[in-house]
Amino acid sequence: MKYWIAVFISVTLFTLIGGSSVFADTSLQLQPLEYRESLKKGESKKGFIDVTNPLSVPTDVSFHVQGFRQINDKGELTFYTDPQLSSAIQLDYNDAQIPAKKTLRLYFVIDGSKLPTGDVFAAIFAKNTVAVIGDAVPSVQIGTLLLITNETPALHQATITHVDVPWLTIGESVKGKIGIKNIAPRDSSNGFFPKVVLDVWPLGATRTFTGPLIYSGNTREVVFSEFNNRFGIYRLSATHGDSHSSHWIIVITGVWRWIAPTTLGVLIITSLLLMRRRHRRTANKSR
Amino acid sequence: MRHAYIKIVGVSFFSAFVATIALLTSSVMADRITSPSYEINGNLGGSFGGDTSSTSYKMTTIGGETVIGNGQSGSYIIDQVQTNSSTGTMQLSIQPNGLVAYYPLDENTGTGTYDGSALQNNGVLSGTAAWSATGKLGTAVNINGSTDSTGTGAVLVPDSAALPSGSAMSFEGWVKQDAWYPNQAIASHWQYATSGSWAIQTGSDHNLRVYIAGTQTDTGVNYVETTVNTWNSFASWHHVAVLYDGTLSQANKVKIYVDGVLANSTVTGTLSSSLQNSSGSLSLGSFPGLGRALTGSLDHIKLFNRTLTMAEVIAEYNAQNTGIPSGFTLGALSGSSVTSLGDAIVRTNATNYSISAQQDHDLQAGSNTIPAIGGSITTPLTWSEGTTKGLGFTVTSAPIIDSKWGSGSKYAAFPLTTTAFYNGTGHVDGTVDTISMQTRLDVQSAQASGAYSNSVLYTGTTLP
Repeated sequence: MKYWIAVFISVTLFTLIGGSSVFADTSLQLQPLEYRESLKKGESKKGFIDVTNPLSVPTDVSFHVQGFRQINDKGELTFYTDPQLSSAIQLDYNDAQIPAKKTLRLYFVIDGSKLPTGDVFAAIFAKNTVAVIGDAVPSVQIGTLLLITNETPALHQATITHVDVPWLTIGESVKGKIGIKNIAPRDSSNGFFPKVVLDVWPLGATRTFTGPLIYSGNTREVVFSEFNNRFGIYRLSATHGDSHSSHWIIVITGVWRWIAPTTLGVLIITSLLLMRRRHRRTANKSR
Repeated sequence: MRHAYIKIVGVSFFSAFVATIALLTSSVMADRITSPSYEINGNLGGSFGGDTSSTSYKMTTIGGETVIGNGQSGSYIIDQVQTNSSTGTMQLSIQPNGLVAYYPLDENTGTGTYDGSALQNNGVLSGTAAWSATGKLGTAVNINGSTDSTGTGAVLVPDSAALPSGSAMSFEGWVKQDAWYPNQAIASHWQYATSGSWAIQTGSDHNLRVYIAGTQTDTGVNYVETTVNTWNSFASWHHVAVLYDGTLSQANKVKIYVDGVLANSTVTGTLSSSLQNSSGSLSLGSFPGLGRALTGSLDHIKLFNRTLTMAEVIAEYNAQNTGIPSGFTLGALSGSSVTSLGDAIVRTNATNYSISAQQDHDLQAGSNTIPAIGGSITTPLTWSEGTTKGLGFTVTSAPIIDSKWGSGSKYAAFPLTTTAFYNGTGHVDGTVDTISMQTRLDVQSAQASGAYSNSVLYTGTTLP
């Protein structure tokens, strides 16, 4: 009996949990997604973001500035509140109501004199505010990343950690990955987009890639697909600054995928025919 | 507070520039200034700042269409900016799962109407269909069937493979019939006698009727009809929801809700256990081949490729009845876990992007808290019914789905800091990514009752 009373009470109580939450269609559009700017000493620059309400009803949007760091080798970011950045990056408005199907062009001013020098990583977020109470009520925000070099950039040093490329490539092109590590102390405000030079020898060909953002202590990969129409043994070298890595690879790419086996086939058949002729001559002589 | 509103129509920039400067200097006290090319409205409501005098605004040639202020309040509102591939753009939406067509019907101009679902299968106003300024939410479309002798008045949407076929479908929308008329279509995906699937219309006597085609050439002999007088209040908006689940018994295959209330109904003929795959247009307000154009208006039409729950229908009705386009709910707990499905829809031209989640706090009702489950985004845990307690979520489908989610069986707590749970890499511009998530909740038997609440913030950024 006690058991059924307990069950009854439990069910009665649980039916009151949850139940009535609603959420609006939450949607925002933002552009641009990224600014890369350099500021001279004490310089201020003005920019804007376009925040669009794609919905058919007005939406309330708030804006705020945060700092960001890259937290792992996948390039994922974490965001944090930083009063210095909020003070240095002044938005025209902190909140607004955007009518249906309209875009707010929101201006902001970056005051270099208030920013720390070197590499600065900040984000301006547009966030829709949902006036609904319930369980797991969703809202959305989208951020424009600001990658700012204020005065002199931090010392950017990276090392090539690995080059993943197969020793034998038969295909359209040589495909591989180059790992690059930012060797600045982890969590220092130091990040950049490394340039990597890839070349092959002999019959040299050089390609230059700009890699993804590598933040201090992190390793990111540059994916490449290069060197069409080659056949032979090559030395593949990847270089960033003083860091260098080389690999010997066998390459049959592009048209050589077809020419090489055809040529090889012809050689084999020709050799067989010659051997057969020689064998017959030898047999005839022995008679 | 004043607003600045600029609308660029697209004429010679130089002439527009000169004309606007002249306007600005000659009409400095006006709240609203117009020219053939520009409109500056200084009084659009209470949210935007700006100077009360238009002398503080000036035209410049930045981007060919930019107005900036005097450096203090240069921001302004323009028509919706379209995707700009050179600067990177992202649109992030959270919608209920399974939404395959969504027509807010709020353009109020032209003949096109956009599909707010991820499929972007836009419609066209046809025949007598025209915009009506007064909808249930925003504007609506009036079909004006009484003057439509050919019965072609409708919003027509091209057929799409994504439109519901198979064993599950839900329709919902707002209908206002000007007066009682029998046999007038609300929506149909049925080319009469040639390619039938389903159709919703008024019945013969103040009721609603839902046809389910047994074959492509069905002439309409299998239907569900609500009892008389379920549809007897005219000239006002009513929310109609039709849920189809072909796996259920004949009596339960089709459920019809009017204003969030399940209507009693009867079945005539035999309802198919699977919807036919019609090749006809989706028609809002007519029955192609039969006409039957609606004498009235339609607003906020949605189609799902799954069967909504009663709780979801009620949540949708309640939300839309208060002006919110969508409602959603986890539902009430009754001894087992409850779930809800939602989609994060991403439109972007960024090659790499990241979607993060963060809850503001654990579910709370006063001083009582429902804790998060033990799993994390890094290491989701298998949900064990009856044992796992708390609030969690999983990713059930996505363009690139991480095996850590166990095909939707492993759950993570919503983190308290912004944490990436999905990285879209190698994204191709022009495609729309849908990341489907399931939220799940269960509590300990000793959990105090109450209306627990929290909010979850989804963040989208590029991944540099």
